[in-house]
Amino acid sequence: MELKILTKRFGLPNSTSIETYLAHEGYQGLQKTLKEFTPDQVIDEVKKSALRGRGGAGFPTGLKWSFVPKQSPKPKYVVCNADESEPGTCKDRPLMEYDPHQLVEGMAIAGYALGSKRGYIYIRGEYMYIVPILEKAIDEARAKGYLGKNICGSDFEFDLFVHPGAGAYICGEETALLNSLEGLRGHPRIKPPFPAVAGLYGCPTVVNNVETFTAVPHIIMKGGDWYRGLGTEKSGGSKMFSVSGHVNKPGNYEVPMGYPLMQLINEECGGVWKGRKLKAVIPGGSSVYIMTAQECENATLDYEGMVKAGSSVGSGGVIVMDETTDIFETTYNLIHFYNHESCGWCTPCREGTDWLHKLFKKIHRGEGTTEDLRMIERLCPNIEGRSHCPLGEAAVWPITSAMKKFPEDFRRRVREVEPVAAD
Amino acid sequence: MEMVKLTIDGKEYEAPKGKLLIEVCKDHGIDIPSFCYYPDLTPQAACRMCLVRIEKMPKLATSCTVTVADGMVVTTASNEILEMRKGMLDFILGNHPLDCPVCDKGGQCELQDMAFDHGTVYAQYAVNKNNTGEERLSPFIAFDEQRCVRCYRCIRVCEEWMDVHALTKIARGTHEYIGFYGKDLSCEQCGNCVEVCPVGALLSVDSRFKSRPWDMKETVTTCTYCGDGCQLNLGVRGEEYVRAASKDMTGINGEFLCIKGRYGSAFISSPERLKTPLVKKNGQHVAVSWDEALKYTAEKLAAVRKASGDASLAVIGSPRLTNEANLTLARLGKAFGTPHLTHFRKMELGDFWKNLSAPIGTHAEVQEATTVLVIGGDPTEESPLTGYSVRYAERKHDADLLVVHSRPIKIARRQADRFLHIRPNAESAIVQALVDEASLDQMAKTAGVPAADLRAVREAVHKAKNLAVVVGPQVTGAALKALARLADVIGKSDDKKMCFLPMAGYNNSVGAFDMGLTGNAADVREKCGQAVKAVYLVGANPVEQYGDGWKTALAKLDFLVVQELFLTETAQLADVVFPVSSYAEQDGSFTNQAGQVQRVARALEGQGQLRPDWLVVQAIAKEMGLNINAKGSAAALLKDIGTEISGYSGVSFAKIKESNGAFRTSRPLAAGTAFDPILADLRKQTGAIDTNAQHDTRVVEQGEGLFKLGTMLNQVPTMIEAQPFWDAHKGETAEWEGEFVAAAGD
Ligand SMILES: Cc1cc2nc3c(=O)[nH]c(=O)nc-3n(C[C@H](O)[C@H](O)[C@H](O)COP(=O)(O)O)c2cc1C
Ligand code: SF4
Ligand code: SF4
Ligand code: SF4
Ligand code: SF4
Repeated sequence: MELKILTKRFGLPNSTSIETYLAHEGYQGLQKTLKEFTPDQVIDEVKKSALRGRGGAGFPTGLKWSFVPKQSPKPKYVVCNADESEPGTCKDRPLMEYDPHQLVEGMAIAGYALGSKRGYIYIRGEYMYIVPILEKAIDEARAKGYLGKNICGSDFEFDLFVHPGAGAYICGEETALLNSLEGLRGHPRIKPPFPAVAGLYGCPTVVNNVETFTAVPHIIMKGGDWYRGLGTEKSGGSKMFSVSGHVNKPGNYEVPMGYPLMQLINEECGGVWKGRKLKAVIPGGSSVYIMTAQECENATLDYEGMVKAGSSVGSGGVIVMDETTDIFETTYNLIHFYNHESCGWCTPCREGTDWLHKLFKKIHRGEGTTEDLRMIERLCPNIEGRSHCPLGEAAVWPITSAMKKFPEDFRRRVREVEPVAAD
Repeated sequence: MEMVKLTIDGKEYEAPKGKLLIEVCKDHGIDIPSFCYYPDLTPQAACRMCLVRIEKMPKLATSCTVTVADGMVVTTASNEILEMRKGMLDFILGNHPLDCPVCDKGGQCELQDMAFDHGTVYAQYAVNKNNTGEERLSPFIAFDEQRCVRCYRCIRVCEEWMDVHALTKIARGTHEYIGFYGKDLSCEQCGNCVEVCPVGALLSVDSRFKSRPWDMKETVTTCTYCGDGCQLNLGVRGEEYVRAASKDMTGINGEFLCIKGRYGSAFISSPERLKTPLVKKNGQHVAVSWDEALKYTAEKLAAVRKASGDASLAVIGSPRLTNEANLTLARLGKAFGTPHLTHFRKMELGDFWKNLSAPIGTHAEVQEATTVLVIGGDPTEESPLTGYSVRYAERKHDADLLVVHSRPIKIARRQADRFLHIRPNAESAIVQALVDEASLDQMAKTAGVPAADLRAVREAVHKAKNLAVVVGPQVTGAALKALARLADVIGKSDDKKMCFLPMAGYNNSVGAFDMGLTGNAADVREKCGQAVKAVYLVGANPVEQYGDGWKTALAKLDFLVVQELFLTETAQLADVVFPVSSYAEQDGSFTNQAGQVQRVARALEGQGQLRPDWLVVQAIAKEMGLNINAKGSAAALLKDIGTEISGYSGVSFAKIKESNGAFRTSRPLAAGTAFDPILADLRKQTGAIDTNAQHDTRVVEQGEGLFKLGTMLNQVPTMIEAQPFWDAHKGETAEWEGEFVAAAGD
């Protein structure tokens, strides 16, 4: 049972134009906000909606917004994280490509709630073709008075700018993103202070994912309670899932939070392809624990449900693998990615992912031993929980979970040797 | 200061609120290993060696970023932490080349020490390392990428301490390395990045592969270049000079050194050093014995004195010599009975001392100042530790930095809150505006600066709570005297602090003056061949430095004695040349421009028949039958200084040591003598400024002062080899267009 909320204008003729948008309830959320809401009321409504960050961490959005110090004399910034680089994730892309005004409206409402006059959309460099789509939408919105000074005749002022990244996964991490936006190297910053207090140029800043912002006009239009009611008590609303891999109909699907994972795979995606059996799923972009077919059985796609099932919602990039898949090779592919994308700032991630990658490569070549597997097991815990940003841990999660859940796929690849005593 | 109570490894401690946990641990002797944490550099949380367990925090926390709070419960010594450290070292060692046997740092390496303390290494190195080679970044600095632990100390030192920003991270992840943009490392070549590098990744080209650290004898001494007086560790292997490093952070310079201090001492071992006394026979210098040379010199001097009188002899010392040498020269001059007792100098310190209205400040005091006025000199290029100190005040507490200079110097372009870009030789106009408000508008016109800016500077200076005035050699004559009186003009009060720091030029500019060589050198030049028939000249090369006038003058003499390290242009004219010990080959003391007496200590014997200057002077006096109260050691001479020289009361080697290496001299403040005559002279001085002179807009380029070679640097091989490098970088500093980077925080 697909939902059509964020995606409701997809497929309309000329869906990116402001005329189409306006003809389909466009900018009514913003107008309602300016007429009926104080900034604090917007934040309360978002809190009520149980909207949680769609970028991966699932942090409650209303709560995040409430951390911005209102009385600060500094300018405040709204930043949209459109760096979408998580493996298996491609949901922000259609949201921007087919309905850019929805994002513009969501960010403008956020700007009003936070007392901000300026927003930035930091978009991954590979989405360069979307930049003109966004910029056209921004120009149209400006021309029609939905951006700029005196928005909709009020004294609210807000403007938006698009900034393309240059191709680094780490620039999706919010503080590395802010550095990059400032023209610095994309390294994560030390937290605290968190961006809400000291973000862009040291000023209070809210960073949210594309999908998070696009939910906001609907929350305003129909109310936080309505939005929460779509999903579960703690995971409100609908969410986009990008399903890829061994299914008959891969693609982006919007379903209510709490939707059963197997129903998504079997009904929306037409089941595992070629009539094969399901072996494993990585459900939230690659930076989560892998799931066995059994774990998937009763898993529901809400933040709590996925944790209970042994993984997490993450960014909603569902990677489906059938029974022919070699989980060792899957993991090798992922460690290659994380090693390549490690920004190099901290020791465990920079050196650890390199070392892990080399060990995987050695096993892949057929030269591995059980000692190499033991070494992998020893290295991982010293990265997890010890790296400067979550990338290092994210590199480890798929490995440790895969080795635990699919031990045969690893043991098959190595030669048995006597353990070498540590120490 | 608010204190908090916290528990570390089961024991209670008190610590100032807000202090970094790692620093609190270090204060109490609790060992927290770290690479990227470094005192006085911004935190990184990069190396992850300093992780500790803090109750109520879900993950291990970096103690280099966490500040202590009341009730905090910290564990640093659990099994979890020890295993973490081992593992972290494993990561670092996994790619480290482990070429310790050929590494300059071996034995002094923080990674070695840490592996020794914490590592039982799991790593079996079953996978290949990412091998990379060594690269020469500049004539002074080399980089061995594979040894680098990515602590980023080097980058931060270059940015935060130096404001040079030459180093940066290049590439990403495992491939990330320390590098630069451009064709080579164009920077001040201070080597401070090498100094702080915990491993052998950044290396000094001049000393590479010359010695293992434990094979060197290290001697703490004082730099022989500018007036700042940085403390150095001279490393000597056998009888060969190897390298200079900064002391262990306890000297006045902490870990700072500039290019000259760090890379300027190889002249000591130059084959060009004079090794025996030389006497000119038939127009040719001939090597002779000390006895012969001394006897000959004494006879000649006595003869001139007898024939032409006491005043026909002149004694010229040098701001390069030790206090002990200059003291004996002053004694010799007095024994001769000649009024011509002087040295070459950049600043008339006598005028300054006589009018002093506030104390001379140390570098530490300049660092604490909330308002800093820099006038008439370029600290970055001429007095680098002073430059560092001014930048420190700016960096640490956003001091109000006011700069007055006739050219756009770096500190004006990059850090100043206000820059008065005056026309050439107009420093005195600014001084007059500071001491005589009524003339401000006119002085603004004279100096060619906006009156509003000048007024703002005047106001900032007059209102300052803690003012440091850094005075350079371009402030001369009545302006220097008037500036020295500034505190009196402003008016003193209990809530106002003020100090002066003269950029006097040389390592012992202040000492040479204090020892009594106060005469006028130009006066001697005028009289050469007339009233003056013989000159006793030590440690100076006026022919090269002060031009042909001196060559002609000295040629007119009946007799010229020179004590030198090298056969300089001046020494070539001498009838007798004595080969003397360099600063590295003798004991003694220098007085820096902050008025601190610091040790000169013998690091090596030196090759040839070298004697310290003071010993030669005493020997001459003895041969001439003059009593100059000769002493058998530098220590004894310094004791004499402690009884004879005002402001030096009680100084001795022991006292210097007690004073943490820097004995502070005292200087009486000018007692309310009349200011009007000075003001009248000052008006004359400003009246003579050429108000048609164009502003000099040429930016002061990196290295204009730092890379300039003199008698000693001319004998340093790396400096010579670096010439083409410097030439290639000339003209790179951008043209000045009247814009300057406002200080951060504005
Ligand atoms: C390595 C790394 C990559 C990330 N990449 C993205 C990304 O591409 N897009 C995104 O929205 N969030 C990404 N995040 C999460 C952001 O740091 C941040 O939590 C998010 O933008 C907050 O927005 P939200 O609360 O709306 O999810 C990434 C985090 C990490 C650690
Ligand atoms: S964990 Fe990886 S990506 Fe994150 S700061 Fe460390 S090196 Fe960079
Ligand atoms: S030598 Fe000095 S100026 Fe050059 S890179 Fe190193 S720290 Fe920077
Ligand atoms: S070169 Fe040295 S100081 Fe610089 S990052 Fe590497 S190890 Fe640290
Ligand atoms: S700043 Fe002056 S005293 Fe210090 S090292 Fe450089 S030349 Fe020597």
